[in-house]
Amino acid sequence: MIKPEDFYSEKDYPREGIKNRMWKDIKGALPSGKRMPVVNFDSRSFAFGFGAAFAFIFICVGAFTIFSKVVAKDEPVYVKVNNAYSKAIDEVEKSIPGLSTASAKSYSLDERLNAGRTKLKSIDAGILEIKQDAGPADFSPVKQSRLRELYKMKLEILTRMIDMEENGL
Amino acid sequence: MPADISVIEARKGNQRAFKKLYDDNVNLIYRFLYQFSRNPDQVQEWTQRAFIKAFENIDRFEGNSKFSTWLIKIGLNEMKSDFARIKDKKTVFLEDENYDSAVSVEEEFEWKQDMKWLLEELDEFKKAVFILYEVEGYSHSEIGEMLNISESLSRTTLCRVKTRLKEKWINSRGKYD
Repeated sequence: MIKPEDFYSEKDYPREGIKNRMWKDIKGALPSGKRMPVVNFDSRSFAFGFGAAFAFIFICVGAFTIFSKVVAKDEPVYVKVNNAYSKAIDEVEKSIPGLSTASAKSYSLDERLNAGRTKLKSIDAGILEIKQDAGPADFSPVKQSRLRELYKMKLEILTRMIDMEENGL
Repeated sequence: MPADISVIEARKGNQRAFKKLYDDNVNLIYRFLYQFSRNPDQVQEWTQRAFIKAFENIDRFEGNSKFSTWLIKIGLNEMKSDFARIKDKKTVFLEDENYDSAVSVEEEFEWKQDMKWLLEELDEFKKAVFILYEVEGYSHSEIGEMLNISESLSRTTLCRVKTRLKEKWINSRGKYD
């Protein structure tokens, strides 16, 4: 083996200036866009990403469904009460088929039933007014209380009208 | 930054890594190529072209060999293509001689400083094998990779070069003694 220092002389090496000039030329010749691609397509990564996206969508849909149910369960009490009243009244109205078309058995009974119907209309108008005045979830305590009273009155009137029809009083 | 890390970083387009590879290898390739031309402009051009090609194709460098091995191979190819163009023949690197597959026993060879001029009489192929093995310390396997020849051809060539140098040295001494 020959030592490089025994074989090469000083003139065999490039001077600093030449080295710098060569580097400058090399650097200039290198493509500026010589970079790793920002996005490298990889089929396995793509498949994983695709699967992950699907899983994410399913999770989101599931979470939204559960959240909606929880929110529905957490409806304010007054909304639930209002709904219960409305449902009860509907049921009662359905159970009196002759109510709307009932012909008066006697003058006094007919008169009283008509009065009851008029009252019911007034109460319905009041309920509607309160409902329109405020959304279903932002009743003030006063409005809640007023609405409950109207429902209660409506039920009482309906009960009385049923009694009147059944008993002919 | 070790060489392999520089290569990894250079693949990402890191300019500092390119510079590091350049600084680490520029002397090595320049001094080697300088043995084949006494025209500094030509040597500079080969060196620059070798680095540019190496950097442009750095993704193809698999890292099975040293970066310098790969760089010298590119530099030699640049030089060969220029020689082929100038001399209007394939290249003197393609050896016409038929070598024996059996390697002759290496005779004792001692390098002397004033032997260097004898290398000028060798063709580029033989000179390359001699310098790469004896001076740069590459193995025959690495030389084979650089010159696209078999390991045994590299070994046989070296043996013959040494024998020839020794003979010429003795003859020249006899002439002037």
